[in-house]
Amino acid sequence: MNLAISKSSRRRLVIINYVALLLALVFLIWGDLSGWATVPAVSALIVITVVVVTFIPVYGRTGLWKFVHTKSDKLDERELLVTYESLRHSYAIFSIIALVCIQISALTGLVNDTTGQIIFWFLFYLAHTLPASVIAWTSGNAAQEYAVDA
Amino acid sequence: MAVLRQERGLSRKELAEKIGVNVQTVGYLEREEYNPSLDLAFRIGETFGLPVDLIFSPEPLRPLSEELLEYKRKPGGSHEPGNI
Repeated sequence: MNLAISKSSRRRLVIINYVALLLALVFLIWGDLSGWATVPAVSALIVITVVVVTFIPVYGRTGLWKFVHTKSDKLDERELLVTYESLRHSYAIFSIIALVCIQISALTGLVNDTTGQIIFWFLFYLAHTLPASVIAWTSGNAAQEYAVDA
Repeated sequence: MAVLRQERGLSRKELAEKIGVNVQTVGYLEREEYNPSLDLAFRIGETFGLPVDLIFSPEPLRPLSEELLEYKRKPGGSHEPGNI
């Protein structure tokens, strides 16, 4: 696992992935509120496909997903440092997004069982991908070396 | 570090195993994109049989020609070419 994906390509894929994720959230909530009308339902399916399609190269092929989910005792000191830095940034970003979600939910009163589940899975995905995204975003062109032989 | 590793005929993987890091980290060390901890620096020094300050000197290595010139100028240094 050592594909050469340039920094600009990685950044582009991360942006597409998260824009598609945000659109998926909007379309799914819209779909739920409209009784699953065709337009939001089909749109949601399309953007979820985009999320999956962009996930594979940016997190899978670079080895970043595996890297951030490797147990710390299998990482050396540099890799631990990279992981800690990415987690530190991810925590800040995730906290803001989670708080905004909670605030919007409270202010709009749109949360029911289904939309609550949609928001939960949105935040779940973010929590698991943000550290890898931070590394994909910040690392130089040698980031493909994060593919861990763990 | 890359020069020292190549001099000793070690691959990156072999060096990584000797100093207890992943192979990617050896690349980062060789490109000077990562500064090792003191512990790792000593392990590297031990592996190469050299003092740490020689491997990780903050000063860039001087060209060999300058070193030779300085050596020749020293009292007792040879002025004969090839007699170094």
